[in-house]
Amino acid sequence: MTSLKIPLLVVITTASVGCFDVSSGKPAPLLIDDFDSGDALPTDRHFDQWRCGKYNPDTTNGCECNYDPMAYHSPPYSIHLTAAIVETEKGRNAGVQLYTQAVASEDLSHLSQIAFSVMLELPTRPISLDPAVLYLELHCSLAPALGTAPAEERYVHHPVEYTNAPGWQSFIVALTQKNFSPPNTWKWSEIEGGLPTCLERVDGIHFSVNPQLAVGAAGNVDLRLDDIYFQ
Amino acid sequence: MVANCLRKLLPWTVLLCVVAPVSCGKVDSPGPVTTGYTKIDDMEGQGGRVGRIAWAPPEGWASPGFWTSTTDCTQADRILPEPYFQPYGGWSYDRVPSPYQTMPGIPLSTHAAHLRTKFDKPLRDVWGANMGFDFAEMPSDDGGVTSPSGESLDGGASVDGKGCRQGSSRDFNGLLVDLSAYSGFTFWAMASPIGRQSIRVQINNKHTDPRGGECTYGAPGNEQDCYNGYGKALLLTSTFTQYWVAFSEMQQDPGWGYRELPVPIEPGEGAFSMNFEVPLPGCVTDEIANCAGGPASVSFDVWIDDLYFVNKPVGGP
Repeated sequence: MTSLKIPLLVVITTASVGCFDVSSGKPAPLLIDDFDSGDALPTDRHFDQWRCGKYNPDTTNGCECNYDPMAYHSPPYSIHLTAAIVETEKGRNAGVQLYTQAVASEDLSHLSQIAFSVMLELPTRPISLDPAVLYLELHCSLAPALGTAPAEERYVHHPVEYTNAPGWQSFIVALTQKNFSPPNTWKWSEIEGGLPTCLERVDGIHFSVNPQLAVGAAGNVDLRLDDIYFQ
Repeated sequence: MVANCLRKLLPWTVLLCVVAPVSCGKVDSPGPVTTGYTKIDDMEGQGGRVGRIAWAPPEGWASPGFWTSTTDCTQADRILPEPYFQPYGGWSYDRVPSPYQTMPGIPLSTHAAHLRTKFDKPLRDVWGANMGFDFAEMPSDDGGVTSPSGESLDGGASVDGKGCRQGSSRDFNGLLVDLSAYSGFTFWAMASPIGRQSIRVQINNKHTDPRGGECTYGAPGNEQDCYNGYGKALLLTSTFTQYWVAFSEMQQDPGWGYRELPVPIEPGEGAFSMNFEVPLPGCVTDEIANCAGGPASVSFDVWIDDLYFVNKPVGGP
């Protein structure tokens, strides 16, 4: 397990010169969490304590998450989820997620990118990275939907272009309609107005892993996150 | 936008009141006024009615409701004011750190409602705590209390094997009051940055209060799906700040309890009560997720002050 130990700030600074230039009039970056505060709450107090769970089926059995000083991306802490996954049925797509819900929804519509760092270990190497194994989801449970989607289904997601390379990988994702789509192709879960509407009332940030196990396969998923910013 | 308009109009309204108080209505007295706002409570506790809200229900035979605090009874000794169902529980307002101006033209505020955890006694593994009030109380005719005396609780509360008595709205004889004359409310609030600063202000009506019978599915003691009030979450700052909430933006939490499709509260349906809740992290009560690092211990120190209804414009919808 290797950490690139490249502070995200350096990546951002080199990738987008002027991003933090106050004199440019651009909004300041919004730190959701760098996990270094020592308490269990995200740095952005709009969001609540991080939590984790498994889906398909929904359970907490064999799923834990904690602050991890051992495999930091930028010191001293990252957050670490570990879960034992079993794929019991074809098409069930058992997975895990690490997420934070908002205590008060936040308008992020003035921001243009989200940046984060990920280290992911899967039980087996996925046969294909299409569909993706890792999704970033922006939830907006009170946004109007085109159909009668329940609150928990009201979100847009982005397939993270995670590769099978070991170690930390950093991403900067533009907040555009092209990058974020409804979770499925059914209209009933589509948010009226799509991403812009959702960004006006974000109340959850989820990182969801679907390891694409074969039926009958089992193994551990390890997901680490660090330095989650909007900018 | 409505709030901004009202804010701009307020100084002119106050000026008119000073010049012609008789025709304008008195902001500093309970009861309906026509100047844009109707006082619910200024938390100063005047007139020997400490703990009772100032707003007088339109039904003349009913009396104003009174403030109470509550949390899970297993940790009720950890908050102040201690809940009414505690042996020495009861309500009191608290002196603000420094008197300050709320509505222009009224005396400085010196007291506020103040919900906090005791020193070194954070809450843990419970839903949170709140302080609030019924809008109105009916005369006692079923053994229920009509004042926060701590006596003669009518036994409406459920006892669920926790080894302590859990309070319930059914302890009180609240009645539904029509809020259709108002578009929302405004208040001042702050919270210590050392503790939790998020609150949810919510209103319970016939759909969400066990006294309405819907969320209990007809079994009065079955309250587990109740109290998911119509609310709005707010993130407070560490200085007294004015907040505005329109009824049209108050919805139930979509994640639990008895609820309809996500629709705002309908004030014309009536309301039983209003409260200011400090919720603990949702992962504590989430049955399909674990809290990262385990359930957090949560302290808080929240102040609520000078609470007013925002009147609908005369002749408006």
